[in-house]
Amino acid sequence: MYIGNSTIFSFNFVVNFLVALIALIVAYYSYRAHKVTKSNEFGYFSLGFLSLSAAFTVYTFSMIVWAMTASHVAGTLTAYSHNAGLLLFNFFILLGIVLILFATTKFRNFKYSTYIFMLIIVLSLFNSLLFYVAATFLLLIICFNYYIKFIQKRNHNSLLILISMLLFLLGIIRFVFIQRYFCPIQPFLFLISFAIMYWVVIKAYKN
Amino acid sequence: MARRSKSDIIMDMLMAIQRAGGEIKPTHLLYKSNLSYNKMQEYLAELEESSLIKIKEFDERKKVHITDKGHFYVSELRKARKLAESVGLR
Repeated sequence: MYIGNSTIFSFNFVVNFLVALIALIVAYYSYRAHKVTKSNEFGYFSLGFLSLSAAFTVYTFSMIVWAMTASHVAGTLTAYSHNAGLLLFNFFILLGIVLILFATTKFRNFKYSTYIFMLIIVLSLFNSLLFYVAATFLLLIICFNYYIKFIQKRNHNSLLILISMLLFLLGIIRFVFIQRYFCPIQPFLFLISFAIMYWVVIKAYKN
Repeated sequence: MARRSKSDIIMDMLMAIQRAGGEIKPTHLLYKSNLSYNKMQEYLAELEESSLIKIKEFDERKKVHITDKGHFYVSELRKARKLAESVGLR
């Protein structure tokens, strides 16, 4: 995500805040389902979306700090807090994706899978390119899994969830949209992706 | 047939009571929930402890009643199942 002029900044701020809110609502409904069913899948799914919500909340606050402070010179408190915000954003995004992966796929060896994914998360924090590659790879597995489910079920909801995850994947592939002109596309993709997920969850819960 | 989870069994038992009009004889519940006698006793004790059902006795005949909390639990479980189906967790 790129902080450009005030219009782009305001748009990014509002969209990121909305994404955080939607992720929190999805986490809440998944937690409600987990409380009744006691199923691990719902637990991971809920924690995954809670982590994604935390990521976008941290990012929104990081943007506020950046915008409200005059000096953005490297080595200043603003620059440090902005970098810390981005680091936390990366951490929570990857953690969220890993938890959603655990919820939607069945790993034969959960213990070793956890170690491997924790290693990916820690390594990704040192290198932003590694973060995007790791997040893209994990999201590709999730999308592929949802594609298989869609082929098996061929229903409206599985198609919507597949589209939602594909949009999330597109949003994560940041280097495609790194040019300033395309900058607002990334948060917009996240918003549509999470809005679709929200719609599917609410539809299941309200009917 | 896939093995039922604990929540599936509880759902089946509570729905059997609901379908019978809110109260059912333990013997009827036994075959409707497709459980062994010992297993059903375990589940009944657990459900009663969680206040989802009440076991009442009239003229030495036992009847299992679903409580308001039980009705709410069934409705939440139904929604959770639908959610699992929708977001691909089943």
